[in-house]
Amino acid sequence: MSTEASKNSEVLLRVEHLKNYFPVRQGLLSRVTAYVKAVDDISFEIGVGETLGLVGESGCGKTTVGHSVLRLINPTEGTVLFQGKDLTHLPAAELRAMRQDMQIIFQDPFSSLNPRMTVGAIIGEALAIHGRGDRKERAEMVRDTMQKCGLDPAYINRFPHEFSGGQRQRIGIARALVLSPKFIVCDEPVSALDVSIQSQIINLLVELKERYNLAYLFIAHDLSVVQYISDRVAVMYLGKIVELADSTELYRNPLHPYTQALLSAVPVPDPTRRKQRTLLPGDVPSPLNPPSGCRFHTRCPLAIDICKKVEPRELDVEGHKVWCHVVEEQITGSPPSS
Amino acid sequence: MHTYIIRRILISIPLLFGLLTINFFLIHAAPGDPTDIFYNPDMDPEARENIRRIYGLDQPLGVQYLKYIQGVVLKFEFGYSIAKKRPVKDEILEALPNTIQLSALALLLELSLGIGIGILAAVKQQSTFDNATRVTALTFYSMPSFYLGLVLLFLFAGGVSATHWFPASGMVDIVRHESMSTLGRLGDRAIHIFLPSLTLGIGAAAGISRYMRGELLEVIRQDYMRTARAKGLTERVVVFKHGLRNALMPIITIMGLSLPFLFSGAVIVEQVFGWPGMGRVAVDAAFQRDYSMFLAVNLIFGAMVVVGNLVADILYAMVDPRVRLS
Amino acid sequence: MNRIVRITSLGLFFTSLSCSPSSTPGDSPSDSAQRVIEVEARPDRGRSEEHNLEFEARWNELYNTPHDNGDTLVIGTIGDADSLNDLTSAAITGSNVIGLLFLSLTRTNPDFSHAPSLAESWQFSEDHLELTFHLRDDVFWHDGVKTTAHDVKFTFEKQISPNIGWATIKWKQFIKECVVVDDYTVKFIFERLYPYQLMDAVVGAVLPKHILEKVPDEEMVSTDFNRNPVGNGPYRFKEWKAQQYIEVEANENYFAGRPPLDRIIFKVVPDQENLALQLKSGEIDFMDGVPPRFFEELARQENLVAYIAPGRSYSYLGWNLLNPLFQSKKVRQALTMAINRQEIIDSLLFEFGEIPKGPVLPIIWAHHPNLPDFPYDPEKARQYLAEEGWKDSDGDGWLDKDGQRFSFTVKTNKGNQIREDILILVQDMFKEVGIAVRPNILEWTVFIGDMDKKDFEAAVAGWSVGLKMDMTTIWHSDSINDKFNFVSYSNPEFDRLNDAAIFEMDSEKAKQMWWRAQEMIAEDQPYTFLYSPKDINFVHRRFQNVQMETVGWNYNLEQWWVPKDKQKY
Repeated sequence: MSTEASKNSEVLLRVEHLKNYFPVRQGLLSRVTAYVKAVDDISFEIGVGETLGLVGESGCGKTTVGHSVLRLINPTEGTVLFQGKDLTHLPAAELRAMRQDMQIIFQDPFSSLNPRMTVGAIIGEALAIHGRGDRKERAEMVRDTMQKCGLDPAYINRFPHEFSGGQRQRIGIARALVLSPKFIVCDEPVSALDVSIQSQIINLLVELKERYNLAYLFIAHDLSVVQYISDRVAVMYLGKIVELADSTELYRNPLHPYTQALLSAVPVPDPTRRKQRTLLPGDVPSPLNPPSGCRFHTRCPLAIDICKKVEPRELDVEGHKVWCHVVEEQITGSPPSS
Repeated sequence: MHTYIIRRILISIPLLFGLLTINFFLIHAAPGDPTDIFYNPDMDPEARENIRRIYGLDQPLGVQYLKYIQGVVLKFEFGYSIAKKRPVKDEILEALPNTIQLSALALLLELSLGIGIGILAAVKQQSTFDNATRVTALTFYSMPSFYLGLVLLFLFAGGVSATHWFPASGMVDIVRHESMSTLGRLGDRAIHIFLPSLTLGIGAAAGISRYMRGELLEVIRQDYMRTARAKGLTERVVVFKHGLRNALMPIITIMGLSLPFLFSGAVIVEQVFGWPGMGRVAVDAAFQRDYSMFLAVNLIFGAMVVVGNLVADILYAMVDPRVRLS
Repeated sequence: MNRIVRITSLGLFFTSLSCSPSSTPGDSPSDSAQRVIEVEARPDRGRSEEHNLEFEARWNELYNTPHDNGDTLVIGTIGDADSLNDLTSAAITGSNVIGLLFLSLTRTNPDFSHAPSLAESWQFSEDHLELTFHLRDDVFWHDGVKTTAHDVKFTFEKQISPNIGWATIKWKQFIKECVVVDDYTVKFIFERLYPYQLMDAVVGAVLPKHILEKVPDEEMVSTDFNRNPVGNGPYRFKEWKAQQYIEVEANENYFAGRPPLDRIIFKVVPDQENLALQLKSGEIDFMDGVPPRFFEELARQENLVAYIAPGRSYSYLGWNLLNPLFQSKKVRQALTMAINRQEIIDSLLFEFGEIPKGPVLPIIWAHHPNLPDFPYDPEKARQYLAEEGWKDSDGDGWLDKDGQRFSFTVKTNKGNQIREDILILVQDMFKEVGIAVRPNILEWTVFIGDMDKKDFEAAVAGWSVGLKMDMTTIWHSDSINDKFNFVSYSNPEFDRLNDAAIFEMDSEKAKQMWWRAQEMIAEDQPYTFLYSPKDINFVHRRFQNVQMETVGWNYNLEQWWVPKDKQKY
């Protein structure tokens, strides 16, 4: 089983050494006193029609990754190659044109829709911007997309506040879909929704993906949602990817203690199958002042001395990548050296 | 919507009526009476009594009240001003348009300056411009308008001859205005209204600019702004179409609530710049215990507040589809 | 003292900010011209019934000497008029405009005597109870109707109507009747003999009967005439914009000839700083009652001429004589000696004032030049107080007597900066002698309400002095309750003297009585007479024939003119 996207399809998106540091300003003169290292040197690829799940606790930087990838925020360092073009240095006009192929669905269906625009305007605006069709054709495209997303086209002139959360997220999806993009960042698209609605939306996303051969970067904070939709899954902790593997492989054989902890928190449908729960002590440390060595060592139940001092290397076990001194020791049989 | 407006106006009638009643008894309870302006040793107490009788001030308070209310309700008459020797209505009809003119321009300045600077400061957050306007806004916001007025007077209205660009008082050049061309008259009016409206508007503009900056920064953080960017819109469209229109909504409320402050500010500014408006009428009426004038002025200020709030609500409903007036 | 500095700093701001870049004091040619003119105080001949031929000749001179017509005079005034109808006007601006629009039977000379105006001549009957005026037959109302004796009679009847509320109705109290003899002859019949019969007969502007006879008395206060007056004087009404300006224009048909200035505009500017600024920048041409703090800066302006006129008002610190604290004459004298009045005048009036020793100012004929005085002497003040039992027995720095500390509140009204400042100065001065004073500054109507109710211990206030010598309303014991004897001064001997002096026809005898009356008040010190401010006026240099007099800055306003080459408008 391979985790390389390129194996079964061509690479759509390649992220290399992405860093996102946010300056912290203090005092009367607003001098920069420190940086929040929200994303600190991560790399991954997504192939055409492939879904990469990105999982982590809130504050780990996964949303920043999603936004950086689309250059909704400018990365501090690193490259984002979309269809071979480096987005990070693309002129604004070209970037805007590129946006037809890459879209995003936001977490909060309430705040991500402009409250003062009708559904038709929200969905159709991008069409007008990119010069797709005339007014009439555009209205048709909007209706059509609404239909595809399970919305009654009769509601085209309503305002977002007249819809329920699930319907609003459908509007968000329709909005992203209307340009027929190749790639969509799904930024926790269901976490703000009722559990009963969540599966409907997930099903819709899966259906659309298959129908239009879409690639997703699917961001979520719990593994259960990701499991269902993703081809591969990356686990993030404090701005770094700690484990990246094929979806089924990761769930069956989580290597990183953090992944294991996350998985143990996933509710299990079968009540007879009892799993030992790993409870993580303490809170996520501040990304303003991340721990030395392995960032997870402050909360890791298995941490050894070296974890405090040395950052773990990438360990690739047949495409199953993991960054952990303990795992490295177990697999290679020798203590990791600095 | 229409029924809403009509109902709001109907509701405000008892409110204004209550205001009138409370003010009536308050001003009569205040020490002194309108004949105090005739206070000099040459005036016999007999003459004062005559005046009191002519204006009905010798009658019991209840009777005076009923007569006054009767005039207001049945004939829309607001009585006679003792200090101005003319019907209250005449004086107000002369002064009110001037105050509206001044306040309207001040409001325009307040909004255009405040919103403009607020947007720039938000878009260029943490820039020199942002920092400079923050300090400037704080200065103007906390500066009493009479002081600012005096400073502007001395700087630009004759105190320093090199920068004597504006007249120091009035609405027009009273000597030359009539002999001017239409364009000249317009210019004459413009240079007369500039300093007072600036004085009146700049403090509020400073406030609005900070609100605007805050609101816009708040809005800029919203997901739908990212949504708009994700659609591939240019930054200008994002800020102005998606950001500004949402950020402006609270400004409308602030504007509606600031109307009464605009009028109370006019009281001071009109005094400093000799602007012949309601503010001066109000001050004179209060100090001279010119009862009828005082009541009418307060009624109008009260009505302005009601109308201001109503207009703000209506505007709000117009710009925000989530608000329904019912 | 530093509190005073703070309070007046706004005025200083004006001076310091505005003087630097503009004024260039030096030896420019116009510098040699006189820039500050002291207005001469003339002997008061207000009781005179004779013509003063010298002043009349001076007055007529202008109409016989060549002068230019044209230009506009802009007069800055702090308050708007209330009415331009003499029957209903109470504000000073109104009476200044009325003086240009309307004629009275006579005009006041600089010495307060009477000069012909609407009446060419007048004479008393043998018994001095009938006064006959012979009117000019060439005076027209501005609408073309002739002014006649019927207008005079009509005006008198309106003046005494209780349903109109004319402010000076009291002046007509001894006039029984006004009789039209013929169209140009009118006669006043008096109930009794007294020195001011002529003055009482002529006071008030004559009004047009043909217009006002249609107005019921009760509606006089609100009639349209109040704002659209039709007069017969040298200027005719043109326009009045409330709170902005009142404009009058030359009356081409004025009996004495067209007045030189085309227009006179009274510009309302409700702020003194602003007025002074406009005077400096030339937006207004004239201002009276200029606050002393602006004098220095304005006197530097080459375009302005200052006229300093003797004071016609005084300010006082009145002691409530009903209060046990102030019932001793010696205590009151000590209080006066505790106050450094010269310092008040120097620091608050910038030396533009004098210390009055009594209530009758030098401009009045009955003024007593040598009254007993109680000059600043804190040592003597303490001694006087000690003699009255006020000593600092417990050594806390404050005087006491029978366990009671000597302390009181001084009230005054808001809005008069000098009075407010006085309270603070006086507080420090009294502290020197061990008396604790609390200042209390009240809104005007509240303040006079308290004064009326005798609800005060001491108060700073002021009186402007009328033309008639009469001390009744302020000092007579009959005036304690409903008139202006706030301090409740009660002296039977004074009352008797005052009542007799009012009706004494012999000037010399009357003077002796008034002198005696003033001595009593000076001795009793029911007031500490603080200061009498000089009246500072500034006028633009281009105006010629400006003759300011103690009767008023506008004595010959209708005769001001500007040479053609200097005309501004």
